[in-house]
Amino acid sequence: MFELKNAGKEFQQRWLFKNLNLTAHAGDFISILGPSGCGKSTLLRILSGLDTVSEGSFSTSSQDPSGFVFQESCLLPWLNVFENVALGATQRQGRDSHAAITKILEVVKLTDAAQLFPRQLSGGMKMRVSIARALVNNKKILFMDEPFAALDDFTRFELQDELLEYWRQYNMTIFFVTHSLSESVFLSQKLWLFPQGQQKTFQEWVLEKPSTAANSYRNSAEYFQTVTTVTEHLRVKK
Amino acid sequence: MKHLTPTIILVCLVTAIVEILYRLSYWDAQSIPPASVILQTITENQDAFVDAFTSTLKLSMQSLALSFILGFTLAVIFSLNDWIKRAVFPLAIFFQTVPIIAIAPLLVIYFGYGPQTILAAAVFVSLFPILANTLVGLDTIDKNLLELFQVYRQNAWHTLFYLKIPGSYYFIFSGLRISSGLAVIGVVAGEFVAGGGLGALIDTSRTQQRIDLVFASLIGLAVIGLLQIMLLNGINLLITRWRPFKL
Repeated sequence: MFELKNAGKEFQQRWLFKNLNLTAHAGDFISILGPSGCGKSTLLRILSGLDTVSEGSFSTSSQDPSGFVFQESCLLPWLNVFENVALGATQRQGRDSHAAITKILEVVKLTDAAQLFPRQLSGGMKMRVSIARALVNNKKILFMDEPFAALDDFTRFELQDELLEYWRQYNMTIFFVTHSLSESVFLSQKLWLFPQGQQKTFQEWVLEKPSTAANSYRNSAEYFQTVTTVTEHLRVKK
Repeated sequence: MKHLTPTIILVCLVTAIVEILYRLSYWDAQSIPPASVILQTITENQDAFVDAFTSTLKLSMQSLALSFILGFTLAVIFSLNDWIKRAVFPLAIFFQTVPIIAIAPLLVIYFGYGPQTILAAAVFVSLFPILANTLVGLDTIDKNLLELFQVYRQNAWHTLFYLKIPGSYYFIFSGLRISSGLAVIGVVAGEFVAGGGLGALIDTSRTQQRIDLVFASLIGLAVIGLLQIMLLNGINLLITRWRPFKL
């Protein structure tokens, strides 16, 4: 469980957010949504332990190993795909890390690219390596900071589908920062909305979702309706 | 090699013009000797010239290697300990501003006449670019990558060896290139005061008004500089073929 109590964060003499009270449970897929510069990445960094709150408190009871996926794929150019993924595996060093890396490369469909260097990969493949690095060794918690922002639509849809598959398959907790409303509605069960549009307060929105396959949900009327409802809600003065 | 073609053409052209003017007696070989005179001088003084050339080349390479080891090690220590860096780095900058020619006589007093003084002089001038460049490389690693290592709980040594050092590759290499030229300058400055090599040959030729020998030595020095750069480029090519350091 992750819990923020009256949490506030000050950055360069400006309050990014104040009095935030949020709770996340194991197995949640939460999208953190907001305009550029609102502090959503900072909130993610606080949740992942990379940053601290300026006031209030943040606590987590989770002991599970976590992975982080940055907006850029953040691969080391001098390491090949296998070695880049291995970077995420050292958290739990062991003789079976080789097998774990091989397995995760299979999951992200990069087995054939294991010996390639990042500059030989496409944008989508680079992001897959980054995800594999975050997933390797059965990580239960994933922090993702606008990971698909720089990708083309086709690759983005493909990776979104795959991400949902990993989330279900490995029973993960995912925190996903994005500025795309449609992406957040498609992926998550819960939205953490930074003040935007006409809304002046931070809001939490729980999405009711059918248990249909990811791909069919993307084309369903229900999905479009939810996107429209959330958009309208943000537009209307409260 | 293709990009050097205009330079090669220009050098050949100027050499040919000087040579023709010299043959037609329109050129004063006492001021700037033509290629044929320089070649003849080298042939006549082959033994002394080859000895001097080899000695300067050897010391220049040794000093470059020593500067690399020292500069790299110091930069790593500085990047690991801010206090040491703040204490020592300004001194390195200060010594960098002192001309080697002014320091060289002092080095003779400390180390005597011989290769050790020449090495000291060459290391003195060629150390700084490697140190400064490596330090810049180590200190300007992408913030996201540093956070990545933080997320995956890599310790300081791991971060140094797997991220900072490879991430500074191009900085280190460009420092080496600058130092390569400076090492030759340092060796010659050392040889002026401590004797031996092309530096001493230039000095004695000057006192004997042997302009041709001075020019022959200058060409020898240029060849040394060129050889070192070619060697470094070859090493760079081998390393970057093995591991790409750019995305």
